[in-house]
Amino acid sequence: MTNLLLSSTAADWVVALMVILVIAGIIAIIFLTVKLCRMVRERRSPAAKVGAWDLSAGSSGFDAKKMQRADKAKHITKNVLVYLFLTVCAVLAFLPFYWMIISSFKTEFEFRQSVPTFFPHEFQWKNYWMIFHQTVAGSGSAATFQQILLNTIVVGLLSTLLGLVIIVITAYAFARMEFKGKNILFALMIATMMIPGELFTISNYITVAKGGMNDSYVVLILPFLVSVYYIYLLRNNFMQIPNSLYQAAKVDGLSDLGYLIKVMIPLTAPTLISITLLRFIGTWNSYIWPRLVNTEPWQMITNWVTGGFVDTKQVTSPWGANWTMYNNFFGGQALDSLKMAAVCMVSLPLLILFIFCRRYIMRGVSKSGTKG
Amino acid sequence: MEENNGNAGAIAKAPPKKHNRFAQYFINLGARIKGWFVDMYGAIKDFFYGFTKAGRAEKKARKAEGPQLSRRERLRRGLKTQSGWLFVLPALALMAVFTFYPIIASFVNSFKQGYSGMTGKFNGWGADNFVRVLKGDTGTGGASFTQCLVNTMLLTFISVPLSTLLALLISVALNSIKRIQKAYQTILFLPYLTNALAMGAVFATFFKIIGTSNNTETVGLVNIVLGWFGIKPIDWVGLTSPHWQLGSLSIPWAKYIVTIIYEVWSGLPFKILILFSAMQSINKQYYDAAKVDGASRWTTLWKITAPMIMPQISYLLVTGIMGGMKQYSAIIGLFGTTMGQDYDMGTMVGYLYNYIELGQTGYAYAGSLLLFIIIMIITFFNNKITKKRTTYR
Repeated sequence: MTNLLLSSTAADWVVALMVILVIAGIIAIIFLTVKLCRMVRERRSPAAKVGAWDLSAGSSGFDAKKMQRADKAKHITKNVLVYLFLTVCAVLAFLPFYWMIISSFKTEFEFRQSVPTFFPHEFQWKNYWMIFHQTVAGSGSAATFQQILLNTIVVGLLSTLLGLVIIVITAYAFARMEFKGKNILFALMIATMMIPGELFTISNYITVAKGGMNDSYVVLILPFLVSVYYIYLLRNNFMQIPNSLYQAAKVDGLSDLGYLIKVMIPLTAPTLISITLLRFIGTWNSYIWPRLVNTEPWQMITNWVTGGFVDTKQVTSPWGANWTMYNNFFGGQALDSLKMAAVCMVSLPLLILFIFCRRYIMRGVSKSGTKG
Repeated sequence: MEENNGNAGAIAKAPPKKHNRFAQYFINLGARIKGWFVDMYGAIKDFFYGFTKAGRAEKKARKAEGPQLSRRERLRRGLKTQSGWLFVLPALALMAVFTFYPIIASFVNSFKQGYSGMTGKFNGWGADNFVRVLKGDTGTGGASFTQCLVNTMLLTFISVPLSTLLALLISVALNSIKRIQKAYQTILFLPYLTNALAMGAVFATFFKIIGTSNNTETVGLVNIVLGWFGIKPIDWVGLTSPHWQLGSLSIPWAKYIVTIIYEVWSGLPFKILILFSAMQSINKQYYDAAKVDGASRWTTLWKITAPMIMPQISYLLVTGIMGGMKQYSAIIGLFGTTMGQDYDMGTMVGYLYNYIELGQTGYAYAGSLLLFIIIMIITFFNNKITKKRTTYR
């Protein structure tokens, strides 16, 4: 089987190159056709020509036409070059995703071929079965994918929701309420934004370890509930809401809390959605803190993906008892095709989220310059 | 300046004394820091004014003027005006434990010699931690600070300008086309929300040599492409990766190239987003005027577009350098948890975590303070440059 695959892959590079060339070619042809059609149309109707090229229309007829044609040719070459450049960039930007997805379906033999294939010859769905049922490598603990995913979702949801509540009420107090020491407190909070977060991690780690809070969800949620930047952002948003609205609500007998819920939150909904998404993504991507404070069964999805995935013996499987994918052919080596499947499981939810919520995410990120 | 004013006639008003640029910068900086403290002092004074004699007298006078209330009513009203504290209390409590305390603790504990976080034991005070960290004499076999600093600096100052320049080119190209602009935009934005660890692992497979390099197993996509030009496979990410040795410092250039490629790839979408939207918002009249004057595309780019988006470019450089100083996840994704071989791809943040894991909390604290100082210095220089360049709007 392996030999057969090896011999047939030489043509694969040519195929891949041809696909890219054909796509580029199609784009170029469509573009050129549209341009040519327009040129012909312009030549047929003198009015359009004068409209488009009024600067040179006054000069002597024949030379101007020649110049126009030269100009057009130059214009088209430039455009073709621009499109070519963009196409190359787009292909390079997309290549890692494509490679990740196809590699996750390859067998390890195919993945390791000296001439790589650009499309899996045989879809190896078992890669996914394997990573779902594998415990985290390098430890005897029983942290399967299900456990890790549960951790990530529970921590993500709790930390996002609780964090949002705290951010909203704090921002509201700073934007609308008067109390003694408000300005001192706000200045202090803003000042902490200048300090890199890594400075806090060491002390927090000691605090958590001394408090015996390791291996719990609490320790993953609590230290990151308050986010000064989002409080600052939301406070500014709240302050843009005219004060007359507040007075009107007071006249109507609305309490502070009622005003916050019924007036301010609906008005600042876009910012709140951005914050929610970015916080969830931040939790999804958190790596350092969970690794530091928790052991595998309590860690997050990115900790899972950095483990080495090996061809372990599965006691129960749909393909019989004591099943292994490659009959222990690779020994204890980390298998990249399995790892790519794991990478897909971590990356694809983010990509899907990005496609559906692009507007909100971009807005939030372009404001804060950070991802979560 | 007074004596200049006394000078009769020729110069009506003497220019203020000009310091050199750097001195002026630090004077301004000092003024700003002083301003912050003055504001803080004012706020604190206002806060405590109520407790002083005069403040109490004033309060009494105010109370005498107003309607006479029962003590209970007064308490109720007082509580009501201070109910803001109730709103900020959760955030404040959490920040006290997880933000304010760590700041103080890092400054104090970094001066404890041989400090162990778990037991709290240490043998005497002094700057020993800093000296050992800077000398690389920690005696634990952990990462070396100079190596980490050099890595971080080199990687940041190569990859950030490179990706900004590329982003500029791409957004200019995007801006100049009309058809299928949206499609290109979408594809180019795809790497936007990616997990550094996951995509780092994908990039590592592009460069990885599995098994031996005599072409029985894969040498990685990049080596194959280089092979077309007759270049022998290079071990980009593995144990035999080529490097230059400068004293105790090693420059693993092959790993640098891999990291820079990853950083550029992952940094591009955000930069394109910012630059492209800035270009879209430039008033079209400028371009029309340039066209009438017969300016070429190139002139238009450098004389109109570039100056107009200068604020965005400097913003991108600032945020890029800030982010670059804190890079860590991408290194782990590319080179595994040991950050290359003997931590030769360690970064500043990687250094901290390395020493936390080794249980040498004192060194970790010292390292974190040094990182803080370096970031502060860069922030101030960035502010200066940004101020100078962003006079167009």
